[in-house]
Amino acid sequence: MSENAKTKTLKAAQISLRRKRIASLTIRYLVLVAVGIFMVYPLVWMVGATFKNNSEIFSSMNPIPVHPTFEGYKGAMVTYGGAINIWKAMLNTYTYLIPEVIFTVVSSVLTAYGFGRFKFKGRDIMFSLLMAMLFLPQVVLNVPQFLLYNKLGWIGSPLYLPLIVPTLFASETYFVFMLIQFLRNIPKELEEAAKIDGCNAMQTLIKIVVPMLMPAIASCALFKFMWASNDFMGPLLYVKSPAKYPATIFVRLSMDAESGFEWNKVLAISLISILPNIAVFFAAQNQFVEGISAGGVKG
Amino acid sequence: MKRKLAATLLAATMVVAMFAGCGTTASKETATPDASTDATSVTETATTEEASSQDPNAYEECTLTFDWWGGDSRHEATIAAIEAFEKKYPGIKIEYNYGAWSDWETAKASEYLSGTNADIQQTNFDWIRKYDGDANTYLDLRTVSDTLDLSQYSDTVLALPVDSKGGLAGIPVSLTGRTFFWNKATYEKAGLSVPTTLKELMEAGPIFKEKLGDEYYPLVLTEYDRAIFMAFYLQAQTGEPIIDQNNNFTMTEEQLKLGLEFITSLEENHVIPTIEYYDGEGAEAIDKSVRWIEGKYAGCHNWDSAHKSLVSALPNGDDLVVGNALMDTGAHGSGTYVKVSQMFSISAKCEHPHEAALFLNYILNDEEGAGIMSTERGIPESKAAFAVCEAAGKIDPMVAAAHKSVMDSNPMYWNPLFDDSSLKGDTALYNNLFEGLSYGVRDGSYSIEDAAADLYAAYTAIAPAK
Repeated sequence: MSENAKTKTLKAAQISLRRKRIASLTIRYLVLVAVGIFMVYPLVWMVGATFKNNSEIFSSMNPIPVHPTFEGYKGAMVTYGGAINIWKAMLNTYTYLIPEVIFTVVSSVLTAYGFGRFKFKGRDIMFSLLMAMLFLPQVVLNVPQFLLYNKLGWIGSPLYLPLIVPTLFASETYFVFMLIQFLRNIPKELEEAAKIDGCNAMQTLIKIVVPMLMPAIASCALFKFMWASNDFMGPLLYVKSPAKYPATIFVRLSMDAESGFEWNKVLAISLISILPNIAVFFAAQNQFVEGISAGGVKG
Repeated sequence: MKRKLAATLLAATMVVAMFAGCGTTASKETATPDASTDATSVTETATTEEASSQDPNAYEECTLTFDWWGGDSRHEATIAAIEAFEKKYPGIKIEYNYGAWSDWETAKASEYLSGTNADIQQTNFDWIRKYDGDANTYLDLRTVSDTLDLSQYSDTVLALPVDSKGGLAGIPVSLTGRTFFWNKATYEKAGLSVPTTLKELMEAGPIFKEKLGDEYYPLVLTEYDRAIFMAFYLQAQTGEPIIDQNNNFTMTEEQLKLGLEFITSLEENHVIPTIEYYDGEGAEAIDKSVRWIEGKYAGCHNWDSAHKSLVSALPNGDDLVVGNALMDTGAHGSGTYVKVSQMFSISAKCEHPHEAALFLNYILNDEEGAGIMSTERGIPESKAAFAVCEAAGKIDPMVAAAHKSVMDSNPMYWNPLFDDSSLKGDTALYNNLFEGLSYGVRDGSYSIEDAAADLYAAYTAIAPAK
């Protein structure tokens, strides 16, 4: 009798607990969905806007087009002067983007390893200089860099030398800084063990340090990938023939404020050109988030 | 030990000798072809100079670089013209580069700085002052006038792009001026016709408010429009350009105060919206404003070349009428501004000025070339090009009317200093001052006197008072 009552109250308690859990879950999901919609809305609107005409783009918040048109996509496929179209422009982007990412990662890891693990004359002053570079905006560098590359004859180089070569010299200070922070968390004992086993400095780096650094390296690579694929000023300054234009320049080619332009075409080109970026981001999402937090949490 | 040292020394000398040997042969090799090309190019230029004095159509095979900014249709037309030119003059190759206006000037500025600018360029009017201060950047086009037909341009047009040494730094493709665009439909809704005098415009303000509601305005002026409209008003009072040909500022602080009072009175009479109201919408430009698209702003003051974008923004383009006739602004007529919308220039460093001039003449004055270029850079100033475009029906009557109304208004001299970067720009004076004034006169934080003093100081800082 009493046992029966006991189970009853237990069941009631379980049910109320479950209800509470469901309620809290529902609220949590509602909040998440609301915030999610808020964040995804611009992207959804952009996709919808590629099917709208100009006056609808400027007068409607509704992401679903009322009078859908495919003119934007038709316009996006145009080849300019037989030299450049959206596919070629995207290909051009990746011809300098991939070397840039690889070289940045390699040079940053080497530099970070050097500063993080070795004591040498002038290390502190050089490290301060390196950190000072963090505060130097790119705008200030544009003119002196342009003059330098001009002297070297690299302006308009078909190999995108002015864009690629600087990345060989750990020019992204932020990554060096991030990797050094990350290196501090890697126990030195591991490297000492490798040394005892007969590894030289380079072997230690490749066989021990790099695998441990992987999450940080992945986020460096992703950051560089995003920054370089968004870079507009670099290609504008150093690429001098339409056939070599990357996607960032190509998107802007038709944007003439004076005579007005078709926004749907510009948005369609933008959408096509960010698809690879979105794919890369989703594929590497976990690494990316892990890398950022790992670098920051235990400083 | 001794033996080892000797061996090292020997090896070192060998290495040095090897390098030295390499060095000399290499430099010899590079030196010879250099000298020979120099020699040939000298003789070549000599012969062309001779030839050009005899026959302007003779030319030398060469490669020229050319760049421009613009939109889709301009790129297409220009590329087509280049291809036609290369077909007509085989041997001359044009390497071209193009882009959109945004940040184009940044890229060009670094090129001017390093001397890597293209042989032929589409240039902006104020670049003469910015990048050609010593008159060494752009070629004086009068030196190639045997090839480039300058007689197609009126003297008033050719008097505009003059550099510090009196040379012709560029050839104006087209001119543009400020004019009014009115939305006829909205005016009709208010029971009015489109204003032709300032008085009518001032009266339209209260009528709009009463009949159509608070959100309807007969005219909209952004900060920069206000600066221009004020200058336009003041010039009509004095009959002198606000900054004259000698780069002197011609107004007094007192006169500026009158101008600012005039602008403020427009706002107070519901003729133009306040800056707060205009900015509240967040439209980047008038043609992207929903209020313009819906006809709530029934007028604007803009460059005649902006016609296309303003019309295409409206659901019914026929509603837009162009008029420049606010005849009672002052004793000296309606005097508006005219400026060169863009030019073509040849670099002073160009090694083949004759061929470059040949190309410019083809795209500007030649029947075939100018026909392909069409009106992509505005209504051409070249008489021959205008005739070709008119015959081909390329000149939109509305655009032509807008342009004609500007040119017929007896436009006043426009000094590029008016657009100096200290005045015009997102964070420059016009924006700050007219925004400050629009807010300030209502809450008392910024008076017309303060604004007049600031504006006077800013103008006289770049253009000394007369």
